This record gives sequence, structure tokens and C-alpha cells, in this order.
Amino acid sequence: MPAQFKDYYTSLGVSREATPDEIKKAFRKLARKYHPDTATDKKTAEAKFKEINEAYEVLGDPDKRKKYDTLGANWNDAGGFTPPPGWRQGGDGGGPAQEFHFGGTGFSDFFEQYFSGGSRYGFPQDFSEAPRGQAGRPRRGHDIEGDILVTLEEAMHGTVRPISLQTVNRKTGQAQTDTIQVRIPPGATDGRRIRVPGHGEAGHGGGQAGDLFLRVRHAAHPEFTTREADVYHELDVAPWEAVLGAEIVVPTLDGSIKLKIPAGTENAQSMRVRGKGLPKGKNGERGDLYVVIQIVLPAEISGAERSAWEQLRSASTFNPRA
Amino acid sequence: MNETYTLEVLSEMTGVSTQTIVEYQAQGLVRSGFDDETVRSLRRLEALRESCGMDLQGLKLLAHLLDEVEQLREALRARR
Repeated sequence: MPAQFKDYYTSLGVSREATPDEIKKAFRKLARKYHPDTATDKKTAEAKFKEINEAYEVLGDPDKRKKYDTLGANWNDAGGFTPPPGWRQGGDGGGPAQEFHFGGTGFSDFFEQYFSGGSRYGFPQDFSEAPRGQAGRPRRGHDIEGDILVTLEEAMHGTVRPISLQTVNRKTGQAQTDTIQVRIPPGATDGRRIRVPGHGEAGHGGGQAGDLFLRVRHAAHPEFTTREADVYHELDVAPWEAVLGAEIVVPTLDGSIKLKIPAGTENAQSMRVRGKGLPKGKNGERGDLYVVIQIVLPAEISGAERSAWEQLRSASTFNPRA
Repeated sequence: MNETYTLEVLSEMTGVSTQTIVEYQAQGLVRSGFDDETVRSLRRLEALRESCGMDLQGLKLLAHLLDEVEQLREALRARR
């Protein structure tokens, strides 16, 4: 099943030599533009949003980026590409009785084959090959693992996602596609695995089928990152706002709120807004929102601004190195 | 939110005897809240035991290493 090569550098509009910081910036800019909440043309924005998320999932991770660059070197425009020797496809673990293939996870086929967590049991594939012996004895099918891209909105409210799982039986060569409805519970945290019973590899000799484990990957959000049920938002403030204090409107997962920045707020200081994170359980408990202050300086200043800063310099007794 | 199972159900689901699960738990190989992560841990332990012929000491070492690798990967991801 050759997957079409994806040019992640083009997706993010960065060069192959881009630094991690440039990649992050490019991603944030595009994510803001194409986030389904803010974009005007929802349909194309959603596809684009998925594409940049996938590109960032790979290029934003030094390890995956290295792998990707190795793959890219073996790719040519004319006829797809040949994975370099020694490359194991993420999906099939190098020689199980079946091949499998996901759809609807929010990732492309290309991603699924090479970058998904798709190993069996979640450890390096070389370990996962059980001895084949004892023919005829019923043996349970292997578990299959994969990633599923979940937006923060979906994680907030929970959803049901159709996932198609194509399996190719190596013995018969027949492809079979199953569509299953996977329930993403409210408060599904990043890294959490959702078990779908009986949708792993088929059993052998009358054995039970394995399970499918889907690992939740939060789609990067232009405004928020998550850690467990807590949500983080970076708030850019001007130096005088940090020194004098200010009232700033900040976004949360459920509408904006007005946040009071106390006078004398330090850079990187965080403020906790209780109960504005992801749901924690069935009892309505929620994580918190942390607003992390980033003091930013103006890139260019006018003449008037310059003289104001100069005045400040002569008036101030502050010595940061004292 | 996360569905939990009784020891007996967990044993049935994974084919690992209840005594073995209790032993794994005592050794810190599986967490005490029995949920889908526990199912995954047990399946992983069983696969290691069967395919690599590992004893309890080996399992302990490898399971901890694998968990640590996973945690570090998650931490690394969160830093982005």
C-alpha cells in the first residue's frame, strides 16, 4: 500500500533548514489562520488545519523530523518513493500475519505508515514478534496501536468518531474494511489510550481477536496547550502592562474572560484560573487554565516612544544586575 | 470517566491469572486502578514473558524502562 509522500516543509511554508523555533512560529501562524473556530471557509480550513497539525507533529519533533528527512531523500516526483533499507513501516511491524491501515484518525496514510505510534504493544517492533510455533493452538490476535488526532473542542465535550480500519489478510490477500465508531470521552487527555475491544489483529486457530488501542493526540491549538487536564495559554503583555498592571481579555475553552494582571508581574509568571481546563471526571470537576505571562518588546519604536524610554532611563534607579 | 474493571474481569480479559495480577501489582508492574491502561500493561507483560522468555526480574526492569521512555517522550512532546 504505497502512500503518497507528504511535503511537510511546504505545508508549513518553511525551508528544509528551518530552526525548531521558525517551525513553531510558522505553525502557530497557520494554526491561527486555519483553526476551525476562527476560519471563514470551514470546509477547506479543516483539511488545511489537519495538514499543518500533521506536519507539525512530525517536524516539531526532532526525532521524527530526522526520520522524515531520511525518507525524503529517497523520494522522487515521478513515481512515489522507496523507503530506504531498514525502514519499518509504522503500521505493519515487519511481518505479522496481517497488514492494517487506518482511516479517519485525522492523519494521512503517509503519516499512518511512517510516523504513527502504530506498533503493537507500544514497544519497539523487534520485540513484538511472538514465536509462531504450536500450529493449531488457538492464539489471541495481537493488539494494534495507533494515534488519533482530537481537537481540544472534541476533548472538551467528547465525541464519536468513525474510524475505518483496513486489514489485509496475508494468506488470502483479501482486503477488508471495517468502520467502527470510536467514542472519545469528554476530558480525553493527550497520550491517553482508548481501547476498542476486538478490533485488533484477528485471532489464530479460533482464538480471540486483539484490541485496538488509539492514543489521543491533541491537535495543536493556536491559543492553548494542554498538560493532563490543565490548559496553558501564553499571554503577550507590554512592559508597562506588567509593571503597572492591566485588565486583559483572555480566551478560554468556553468563552473569553477578563483577567486582572497585577502590578509588578514578572515574565513567565503564571496565573491560575480555576476550573477552566478540561473535564476531569464525570462529577463535573475540571482542570485549571494557566495564563503564562510573556513580556514582549515593541519591534520598532517611534520618536516619541524613544524619548519616553529615555526619560524613564534617567528617572529610574532600577539596576537589574545589582 | 475511565472505565475500571474488577480483578476477575481483568483476569478474564487478559488471560493472566488473578494471582499473577496481584503479584504484578505488588511488584509495581501494574497500577492499582484497573482500567484500559492496565489491560495494555498486562498484555505487554504477557507478550514479553511469552516471546522473550523473561522472568519477573527481567519484566520489572524492562517494564520500568519502557514506561520511562514513554514518559520522557511525552515530556519532550509537551515542551514543544
